[in-house]
Amino acid sequence: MAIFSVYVVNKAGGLIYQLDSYAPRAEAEKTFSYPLDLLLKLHDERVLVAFGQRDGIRVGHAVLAINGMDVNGRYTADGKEVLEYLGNPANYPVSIRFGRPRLTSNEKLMLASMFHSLFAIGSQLSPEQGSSGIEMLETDTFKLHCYQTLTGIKFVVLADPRQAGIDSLLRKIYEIYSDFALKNPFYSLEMPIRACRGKATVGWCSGTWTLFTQPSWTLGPSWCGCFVGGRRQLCWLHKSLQPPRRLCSNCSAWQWC
Amino acid sequence: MTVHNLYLFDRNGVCLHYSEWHRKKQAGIPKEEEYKLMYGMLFSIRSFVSKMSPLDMKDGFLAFQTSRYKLHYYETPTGIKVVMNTDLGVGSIRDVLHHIYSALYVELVVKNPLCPLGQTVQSELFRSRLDSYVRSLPFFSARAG
Repeated sequence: MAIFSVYVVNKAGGLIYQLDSYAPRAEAEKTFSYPLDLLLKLHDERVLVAFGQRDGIRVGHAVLAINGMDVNGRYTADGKEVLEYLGNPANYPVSIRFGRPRLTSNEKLMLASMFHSLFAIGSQLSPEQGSSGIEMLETDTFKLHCYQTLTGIKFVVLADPRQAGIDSLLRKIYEIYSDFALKNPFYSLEMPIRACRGKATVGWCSGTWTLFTQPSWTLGPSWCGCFVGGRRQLCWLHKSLQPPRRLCSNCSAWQWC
Repeated sequence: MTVHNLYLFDRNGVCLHYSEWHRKKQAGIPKEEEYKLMYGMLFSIRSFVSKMSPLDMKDGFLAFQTSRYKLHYYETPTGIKVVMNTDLGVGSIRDVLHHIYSALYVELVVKNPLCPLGQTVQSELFRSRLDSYVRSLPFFSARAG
């Protein structure tokens, strides 16, 4: 039971936010002697196993490390080409780590826009009137849930097939997006969301909408926009009141949490 | 519960068979174009899913649903693809799609020397058996006619 990834796709199909939350995938390390009994090939700038599935190494797995040194694409960390290195008998015995290829950020962008098109085709091929696009896509290893807002932003969650309650999670992510991305005056629409803790948000203080540098419910101070004395004042969270509210140290206005 | 339509593709993307039962909306493009669009979508979903998966996959893509219909997908190791669109109330129908492949397609088309492979299936027997099999399914609604 788990959530694997979250993607936020804007209305043009661009990826504006992405989060991965799974542990490194199953990897297999093995020591080989000269002729390598696996067939490797170059595909999409990666060295993949083409033939010779064995000992947890499967066709489609990529070479992740050679003798403990990481491999980036077709080159090792010290700049040697992987296929050339493995073709030289002098380098054996060699220990190679294989695993599922990790997605690069370019691939994530590509997959997000690919899903954007699949979503549209899914609705065009509908045998029923008034169908939306793909809302849930099921495979044997994960389920993809998608929620499209009225403004066209798609929130995509990859979860375990047995994981329940994803619909409410998607609504919650939309809420968080609305609160902390859209209400952030420094955020420009349709652009990637730079997620950082303590980012700015807007709250009600001193009888006007003001800018806070923290979400209203987090501990610690937030800046109130009342600008008394030429600078912004701190607002502190008061948990003693029910519900907890923020108190501006200058104007004494309460902010609702 | 209803069954909307069924597509059967071979490994090259040729639509071997298409039939529909309770289809309320057409795609608005010629049938040949629709088959290509459907095959192209499935092809892309397969590659999308294999890249997105956090673990190694066995069966791969199984089904997707929108707000109005659910598409069930079954692929054999030889690349024959059986695609059935139903309404949302239908659960997993892998066994049904497998039956269409193994008991109808293999028996009546592959084993029939008069049916050339890789082309639209002309066999009337296959057509009528498939129709009666789908109509006999528990989730095939009789009321919608």
